[in-house]
Amino acid sequence: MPPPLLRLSDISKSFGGVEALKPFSLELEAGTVLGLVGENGAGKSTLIKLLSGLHRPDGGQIALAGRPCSFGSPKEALDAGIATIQQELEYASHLTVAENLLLGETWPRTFFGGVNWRSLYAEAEQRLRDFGIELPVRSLMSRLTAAEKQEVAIAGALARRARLLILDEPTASLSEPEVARLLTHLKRLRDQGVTLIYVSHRLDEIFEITDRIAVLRDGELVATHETKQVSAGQIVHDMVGRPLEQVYPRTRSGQTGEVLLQLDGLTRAGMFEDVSLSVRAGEIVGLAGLVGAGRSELARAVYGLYATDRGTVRICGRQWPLSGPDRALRRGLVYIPEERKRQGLVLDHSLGSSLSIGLRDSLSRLGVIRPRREQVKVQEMISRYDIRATGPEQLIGTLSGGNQQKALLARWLERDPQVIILDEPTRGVDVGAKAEIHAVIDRLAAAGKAVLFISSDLPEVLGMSDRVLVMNRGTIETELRGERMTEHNVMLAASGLDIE
Amino acid sequence: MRFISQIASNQRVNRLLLVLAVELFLFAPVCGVQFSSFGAFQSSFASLISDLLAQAAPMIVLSVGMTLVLMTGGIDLSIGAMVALIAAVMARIDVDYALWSTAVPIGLLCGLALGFFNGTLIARLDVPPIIATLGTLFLFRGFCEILLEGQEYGQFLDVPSYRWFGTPSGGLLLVGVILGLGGLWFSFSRVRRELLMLGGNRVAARYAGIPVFRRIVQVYTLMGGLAFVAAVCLTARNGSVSASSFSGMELQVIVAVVLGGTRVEGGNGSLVGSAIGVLMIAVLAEGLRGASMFHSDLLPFKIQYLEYVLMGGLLIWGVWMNRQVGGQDASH
Repeated sequence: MPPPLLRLSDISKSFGGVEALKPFSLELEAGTVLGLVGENGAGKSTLIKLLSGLHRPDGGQIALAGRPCSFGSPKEALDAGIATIQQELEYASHLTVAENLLLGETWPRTFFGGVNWRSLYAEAEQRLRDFGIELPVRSLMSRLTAAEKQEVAIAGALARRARLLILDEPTASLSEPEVARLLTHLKRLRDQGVTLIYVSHRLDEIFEITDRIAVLRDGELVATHETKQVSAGQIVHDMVGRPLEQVYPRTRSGQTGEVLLQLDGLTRAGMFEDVSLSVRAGEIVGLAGLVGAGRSELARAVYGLYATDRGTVRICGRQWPLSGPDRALRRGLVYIPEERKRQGLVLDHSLGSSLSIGLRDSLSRLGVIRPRREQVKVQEMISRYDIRATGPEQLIGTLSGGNQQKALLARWLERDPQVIILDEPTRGVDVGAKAEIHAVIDRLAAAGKAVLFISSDLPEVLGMSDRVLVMNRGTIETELRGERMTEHNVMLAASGLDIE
Repeated sequence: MRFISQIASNQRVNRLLLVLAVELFLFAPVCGVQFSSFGAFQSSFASLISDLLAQAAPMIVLSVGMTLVLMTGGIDLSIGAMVALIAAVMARIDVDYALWSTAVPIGLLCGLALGFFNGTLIARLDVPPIIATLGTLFLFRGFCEILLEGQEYGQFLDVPSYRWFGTPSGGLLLVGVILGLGGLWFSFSRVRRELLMLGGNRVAARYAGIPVFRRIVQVYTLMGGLAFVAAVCLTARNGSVSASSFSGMELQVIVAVVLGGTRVEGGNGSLVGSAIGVLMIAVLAEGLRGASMFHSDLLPFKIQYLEYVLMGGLLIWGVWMNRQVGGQDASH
């Protein structure tokens, strides 16, 4: 019996003391499709990076067709026959399809030493035809649709004799018919003997195409199942089952007041569709869903950063025409963005000026910031939100992630807004800061504010919220309250499956 | 007072002032400053300083605008051409004695409009600042040539009291109002904070509710207004304008501002530093001019030709020095 195409024995990887992958073993037979599932941060991307040569494992061994191998670079992995189609495709958008397909290879030459374009295009066309698609090879890569770009990438990988093809969230930016087309292609490849690892959040696709499913959770391989013998419920259970229960603060009474934020049929084509929701005073409403479900886009649109196509928003009962963040702030709505370094802070500005920028209107008179008042206010904010820094002069970029996040919260919450939209407020912060941020959010609701809480951390969003809305592909799939607020149900709804 | 103590505690400004003082000390003897008696020193030094001031005033005015532009992460290459075009428009409105009531207001409007045009190109049409203003540099020069038809125009000096803007006291007043009062207001203003954030991280500025587009348009429009003030100053000294007047001025202003410690990438900037930068260049130019008059036989070429060489060296050295002092908070 021939050795399995891929054998991982006890491979592990940690980053700076954090175990991204705990030692595990896995085998993959040639010509089969393995589905790889897990929540955000479960270790899927780390595993892909090990296989594609971006990282080296700390321990254990990767064997390809029985031969142990070690990849120092993506090129070495590719040469060994492992090709990875990343979620964010990399290509030269200003070159033609043909040039992209043959990038890095020796191009056919003419007698005079120039490029023999005719045979280059012919070769490219041949490669696409081998894969079973027809595309204009002379057109620029940037003109193709997302699906076509992906097909070019796959065709390119196959032309380099890839034996193992890894697809990382290949359908994240595809429409339904494009997904169906991709799956058809992949099934044909499998029948031709190519081995596939298919990574996706979307369980329906996983069930359609895979032979086996491996579930990762918190860096551990918790289970592998034969696809035919397992239910979606079991997979979701494996993905979320968590031994540790965390305690979430709840000082708020649970009594809710009038509706402070109301969305009716809000739509922006391609981002979110017909979203209606309301948040009352004193209430924390969780917004759960997979990455790319349209939660952040929705939040930013409500904040006035994007125009919308249809629908209305009311803040504190008044119609809100979405006319820009400066107006939103004056109306009493704040949005605390998910990427604090890119969307929130100027890293080489001081903590003090990073805090006071949020209060620039109330701190100034005749357009002049009053220095004494600013100083007092900044000190107040630093102690109230327990921001640990050497002083207001310290550069914000030199603070820890948790303290940066607390500073960002302080900047906006000090305005005393009525409606607060938090987008992944605890991403990348340590456990201590996380608990402090949870306490701050709870106090907001206790003080009668309306909080819309976006988080991909399931226990957190369930533990913090009074009720949870689950988004999937731009629409609100369902609302969960009380008993039904379980990780299981959230994952089912987020993957577009029916709740049991 | 807080303002003064803030400046005095600024290491970068102190260092620039020191360099300026050394420069003055080195060049003073060749610029006709006499050391024979205290009285002679006093009067000759005072006349050197007032000469310098009159000469540097329009550049300081322009450097104020350029500092703001660089703060937002932009650049304005068109200001030399803009000054010339404003001067040309004022020169072509041919009503000598009515200049104050006709040509001058029209010049101001023209300056604001040209700046607004730059700002709109950059903010609304999203053309990179360096390209947009390179384009308008050629545009404005072209309009100059059309307006002036290759001739030199000038009735500025015939206008009563126009000349005053080219004198040391006129220059002092303009610099005092624009850099002194305007700069003082600006250094404490909310707008400065907004511009700093905008230049440091445009995405974050948008998320923080700063009206990014409006601020950018405002900054370039202000630059246009200041170009008008500089045009008044310069024509009050030269008395005339031709299609090629003031070319290369934008680069000198940028050199001065960068020398003064403003970061080209945006996100910080110092008006006082920029003014000192302008003075450093003015002293250099004046010193070389003096040296060429008094010691013309020292070198095989005209000593004035050294101006660009020294300016280039000064710029590279200045930027290097700023990097060394850098790493401090950019927003204070």
